[in-house]
Amino acid sequence: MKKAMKIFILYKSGKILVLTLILVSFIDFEIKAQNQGGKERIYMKAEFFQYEDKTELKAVLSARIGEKRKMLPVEFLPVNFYNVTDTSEILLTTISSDEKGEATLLLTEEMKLARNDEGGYSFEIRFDGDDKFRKATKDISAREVSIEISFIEIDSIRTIQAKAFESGIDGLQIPLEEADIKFYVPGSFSLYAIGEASLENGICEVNFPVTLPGDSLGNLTILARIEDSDDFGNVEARAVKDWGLAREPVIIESNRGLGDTDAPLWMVYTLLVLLSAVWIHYIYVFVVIYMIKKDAKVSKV
Amino acid sequence: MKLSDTTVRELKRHAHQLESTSTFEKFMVVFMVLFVIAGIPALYIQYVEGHIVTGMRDNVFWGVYIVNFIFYIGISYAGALISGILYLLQVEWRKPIIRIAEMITVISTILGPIYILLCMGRLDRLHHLVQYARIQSPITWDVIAITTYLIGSVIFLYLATIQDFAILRDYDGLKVGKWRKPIYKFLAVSYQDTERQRNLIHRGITIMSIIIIPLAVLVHSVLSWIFGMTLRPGWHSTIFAPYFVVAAVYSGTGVLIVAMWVYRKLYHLEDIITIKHFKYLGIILLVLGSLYGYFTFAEYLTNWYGSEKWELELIYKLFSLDEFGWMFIFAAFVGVLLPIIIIAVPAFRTINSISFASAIVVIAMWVKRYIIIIPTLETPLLPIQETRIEYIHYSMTWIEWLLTISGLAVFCLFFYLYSKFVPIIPISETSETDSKE
Repeated sequence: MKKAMKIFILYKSGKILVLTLILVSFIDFEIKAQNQGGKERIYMKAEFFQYEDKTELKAVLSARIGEKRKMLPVEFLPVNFYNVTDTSEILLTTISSDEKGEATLLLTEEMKLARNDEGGYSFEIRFDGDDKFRKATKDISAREVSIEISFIEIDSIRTIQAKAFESGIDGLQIPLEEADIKFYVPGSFSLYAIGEASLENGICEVNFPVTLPGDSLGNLTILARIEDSDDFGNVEARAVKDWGLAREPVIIESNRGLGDTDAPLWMVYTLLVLLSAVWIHYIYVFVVIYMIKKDAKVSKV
Repeated sequence: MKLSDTTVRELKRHAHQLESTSTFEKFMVVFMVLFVIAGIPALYIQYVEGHIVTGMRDNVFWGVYIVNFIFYIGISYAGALISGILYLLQVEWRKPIIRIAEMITVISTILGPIYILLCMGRLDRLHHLVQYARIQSPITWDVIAITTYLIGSVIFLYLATIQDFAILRDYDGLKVGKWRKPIYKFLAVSYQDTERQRNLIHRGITIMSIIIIPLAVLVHSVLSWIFGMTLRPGWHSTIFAPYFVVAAVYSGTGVLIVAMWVYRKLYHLEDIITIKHFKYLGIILLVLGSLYGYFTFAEYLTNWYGSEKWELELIYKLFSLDEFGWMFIFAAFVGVLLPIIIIAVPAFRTINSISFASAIVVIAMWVKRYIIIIPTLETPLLPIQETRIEYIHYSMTWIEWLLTISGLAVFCLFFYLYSKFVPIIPISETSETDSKE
């Protein structure tokens, strides 16, 4: 009976071992497939930004680097930016990725970009590969949009209004539809969201909160944004309005210890007492050395 | 000053140390000088290129230079504490080893701050430390404390050597360069071994022994507060000051035992520095090792149990074998348990094994300083943005390696050169013992 059990256990163990080996070989194959020819895969992200004063096209390159396969930005990679239509592909420029893995192209009127059939712009961003990394490509399209911010106050109810227009092929400003606009106020470390609304006939509104602190005059910066839109990319407009609560200058009445320009008195006294205690003894020892010297002269006499 | 027969006998016994230099010693000096010279191009490159040639970046802004600084200042305390305490307690067996302890104090207190200068990016602003000093800044406390401590250590060493300077001045049989006599004469401050002078020296050393003990504790506490006063994981701890003090004396005692072993071999002091000295210091090492182990356990247990996010992240880094795990095992386990086992078991208590355990302690304490500084800086409270890998992780460059080794060579060289100028065994102290016997 025991022998039969042993054979059974050995058979099971052998089976598990074989299955494990097959599984490991598959995992190994998978890793090799991911890492063709020893080159790493480049992950590319493309973003389109439309600000009031400039328009940018940005590529962010990253790869799994090092033993831990941590996703990290890759710098010094040449990134080609192309303006594409159905019939043409024009190289705009080549930009090297920076330490954040970013290559940013500032789009100017001098580039005379060709529009696509929808009246927008299409781009292809390409990294052609090198000794370490495989090639990577990303397509992105965006239509030209602008946002205007205005402020309305009726019976002490304050409202922010945003109007968004799309620039058509013939230069006409067409009110934008089917897009959401988010409103923010920039804080010290991040953006404070104050509302979100959908555009109707190119217009949307949100109520303005009355409790936001502004600068000493009550001025606040308000941002209106279309974020990560498949059609328009990222669009941003900003305006300043004195609707914030005017901040009183901060007056520090008492000493704040280590953060203050003056040290706390207890610290000054402690330091003086400690240093005096040590140095009085040092001075005494110097006197002792002098007395040794003096005593030698007396002994000679 | 008329030298007694015992003093002359003692001096003759150690004269070869000052008079002759063996081939091995010459070889060692050349070896150390070569390492010191090798540091010069590294220093030049760092001066010209700036700190970009080191592993220090925006996130990890302190590297191995600060590790070395704390290490050297740490070992200096053992000299002060051991010589101070043993003198006050009038422990007889201290006499042959007391000068080695005092030398460790002075040399390492001189060498430590040099690494601060290497760590500073703008040496041209060095005077700002004084010009714009803020009493509430831990950096200012450190500048004041270390300067005061260095002066105190030099006075202590000098006072304890005046009698030997006088003996060397008045003994005509010494075959050394003529240039030395005027120096011995100057440093001996006309000491004639009168009753009053002996009393004055005794009074001076007693005062310095008393003052140097709290000063050493205070200075290393201040050093720990550079870290402890900042709100960073692994540093902001109330026990950091006593933890630093214990670790400092632990490493310093280790260096003292290693130095004793080296001098014993180098100058054939087998009948003066005996197994007794190694055993007694070994027991001090054992007590300090236990204390250090206790503090380490208390520190990490408290941080781990608190489960504070950043503290946990740091602890996982320290425990992860892919990051600092091996260093942590070496510093916290090998560096504590191995010396304790060697010293606690009577059969293992030989001169060589105690010296080996001490060497392990010294290396472990250097590694401990490394894992105090680097992992914490790699764990900032605001998360590190995904950026270049060398900005996130610190690794020593060859410049830093070379300057670290050069510093070690300077330490050994200073030690050796001082032993060629003054006997490593205090003649006045040992001859006094011999006369009593």
